[in-house]
Amino acid sequence: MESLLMIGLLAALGAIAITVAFMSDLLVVAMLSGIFSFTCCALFVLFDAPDVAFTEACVGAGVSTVLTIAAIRLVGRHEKRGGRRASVVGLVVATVCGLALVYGTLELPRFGDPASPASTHVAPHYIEESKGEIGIPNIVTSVLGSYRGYDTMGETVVVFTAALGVLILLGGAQSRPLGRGEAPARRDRDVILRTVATLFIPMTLFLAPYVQFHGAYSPGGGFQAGAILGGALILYGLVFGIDALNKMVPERILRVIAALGVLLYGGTGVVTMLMGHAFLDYYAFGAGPSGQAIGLTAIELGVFMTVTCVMTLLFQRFAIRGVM
Amino acid sequence: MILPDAILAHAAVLVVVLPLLAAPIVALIRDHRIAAPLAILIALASVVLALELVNATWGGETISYALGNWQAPIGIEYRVDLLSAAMALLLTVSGSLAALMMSTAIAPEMAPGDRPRLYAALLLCMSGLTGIVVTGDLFNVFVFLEISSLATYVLIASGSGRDRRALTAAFDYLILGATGATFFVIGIAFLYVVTGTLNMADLGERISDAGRRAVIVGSSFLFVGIALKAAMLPLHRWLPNAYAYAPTVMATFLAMTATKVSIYLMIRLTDVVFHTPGELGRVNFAALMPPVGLAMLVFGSAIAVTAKDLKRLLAFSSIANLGLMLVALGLGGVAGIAAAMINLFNHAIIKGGMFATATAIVHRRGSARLDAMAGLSRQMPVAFIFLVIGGLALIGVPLTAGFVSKLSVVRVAFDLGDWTVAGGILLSSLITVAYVWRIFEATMLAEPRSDAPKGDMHPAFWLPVGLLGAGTIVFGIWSAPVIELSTRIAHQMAGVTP
Repeated sequence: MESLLMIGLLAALGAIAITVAFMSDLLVVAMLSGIFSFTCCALFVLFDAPDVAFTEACVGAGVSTVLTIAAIRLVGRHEKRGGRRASVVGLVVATVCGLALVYGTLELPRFGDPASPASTHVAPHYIEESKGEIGIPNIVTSVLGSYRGYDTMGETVVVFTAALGVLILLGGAQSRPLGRGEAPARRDRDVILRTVATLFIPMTLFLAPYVQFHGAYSPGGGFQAGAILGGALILYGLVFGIDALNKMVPERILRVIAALGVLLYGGTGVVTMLMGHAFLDYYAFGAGPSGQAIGLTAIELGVFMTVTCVMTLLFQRFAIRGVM
Repeated sequence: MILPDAILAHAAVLVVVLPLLAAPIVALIRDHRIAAPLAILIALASVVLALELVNATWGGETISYALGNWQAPIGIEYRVDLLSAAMALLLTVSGSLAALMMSTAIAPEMAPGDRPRLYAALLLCMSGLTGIVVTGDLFNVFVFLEISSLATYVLIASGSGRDRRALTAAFDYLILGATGATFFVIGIAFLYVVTGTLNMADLGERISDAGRRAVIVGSSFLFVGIALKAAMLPLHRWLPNAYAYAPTVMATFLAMTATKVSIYLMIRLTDVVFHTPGELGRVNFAALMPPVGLAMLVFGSAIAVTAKDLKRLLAFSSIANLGLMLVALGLGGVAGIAAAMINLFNHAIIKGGMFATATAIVHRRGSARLDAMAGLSRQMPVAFIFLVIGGLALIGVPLTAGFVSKLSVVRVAFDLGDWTVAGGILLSSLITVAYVWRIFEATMLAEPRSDAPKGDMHPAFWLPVGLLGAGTIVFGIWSAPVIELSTRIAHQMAGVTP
């Protein structure tokens, strides 16, 4: 049953991808990419990776679709005629790469094989020792936050760098009056949209801290919680207007919090260093799981701050941008 | 040497983390007159840390630093040998020189409020690249590759204040760079599945038991990803526009560092992971390198002759020089790696000097177009002299660093009896004479414009341009330091004591 479902989902992914390649209406392409992401989510769940599915649903299907549409609003929805033609060379290269992947994959151990190298080398340590060393049941959080916490810091910096880039490139944007057809949901017309949003946004606001603090036990953590809260704020901006969102969370505050998030994460490492331990060695805060808990809470909060603010900030910058 | 032991113990991680964490602070500062000196200070502090690393690894020692105190392969390990330390030094020095010039260079093209963020992007780029060269963990390489790539796109795109085409150049590189990163991470995934580890040294030990096909496919994907970042033919398309439209000061930094780090990755992966210098995972990519490198050498030089813009000319010349490094790597052995490293360091100095001079010229005259440079030799004589020095070094005239570089590769080729390589290098030198002549022709012989802006280089450029220009000459006459460093690195890589 599960494998049938997987084949079906993979076939759907292929079909969507091919359709996207032949579409010239960019709005449809954006929608299809959103559906592509949702299909991926389902696949990730089947692969027992709910953490990844969570993030994909928020960022891939939600936020990035909104950002793409915000960009399409600026550049127009139809592909320009007479652009670059599809080339035979490109098709050949893509086919060769695809075949190479298939060729390499055929020899790999089966998915979930307990005797595979991936399951017998470092993974047993994480599975057997993380409960004692880190003290939390969710092994994924242990690996991301502590064992490989430095990588996660790097990823947080990546998110911050993206914001920095958008701020530089879309700098000095002018707010402008809304044109026809892009007004936020109107009180007299879009009753359902406004009602659903009014119901949804408070619930999402509760979900975000839950995902944040429950990350030790269930799938979740700073990235997911940040994406959820950022998504909620973007939804608010979409329905009630960018000006309302700007009033609630001004951009300069978001900029400061986004930077502080990175600094909180890196600062945790600097503090452990000053206390005579290695960079990001949470045992500096106390032996055993108690020290780890302090460190993990601090860095997850840092991730949460940066991700939430960057998501919202990206949307704001696109939304207030005038048509060029 | 000069730092207390408490800092020294953490130098390997501080050299990356210091600029990384300074970047958000710099980005938040509103006044660009405070942000710029802070960025310079941080970059210079990184140079000191990198110097300490070189000092600590000079005799062949390796520094291992367990991040979070989780021993590899459970956690991430920083592993610094002389190669890593020397690369870190190159990166931080390049970053510092760019930082010294940037506030003056960027002033005409960017609003004051946006400048601190650009300074932060430069720090992030420098820190990301440094993170790649000091880490011993393959996935950590990918994470820092992402940081540096993203920051690079920002640096290139910020040239849009002068020329809107910077945006399409950045976008092209973004799409290609993201494709390269995807190939890189697919390669990592294959290797992880068959070895169960991400630590490079550990990977190298376990790879002999791994499935053959997966290693071949994984290493091929890794190689293509790196080759794209190294602008290896035919994956070089992003480079000319990126260098031509980025703000010249940022192009200076990128020309000195970005592709060099990819060359570093090739050396590191072939040596640590795959144990066979020049071979990646039982596929002999080394055999590919001399022909591709030679093609880049000739093709890059030939296109440079037709360029109408100094920055674009230098960009194509960079492709040619990267070709030379690949040829040296492909020839293999201790001598080959040493020659590649000599070229890497010397080219960074020569091309950095030329781009820095171009920065000063663009700052004064607003354009790097060759036809706008008429009368430069009389109106900006100092800048002109540094262009001449760089040009002579590119040709490979004796008493310049360029001569030492070319000689080292030709020597290896002679020893191996590889006449095609030796001939190709000589041919490309002749073509180089042609494009360097075009610079002289444009700046010296053309009728000067009477309305050209007055004045020579702005004082802010004196130190970077002077240092790099002096380096070009000094390391041409007294070549021992670069050769000694490169030879030591090559010996360490090959695991033989000199």
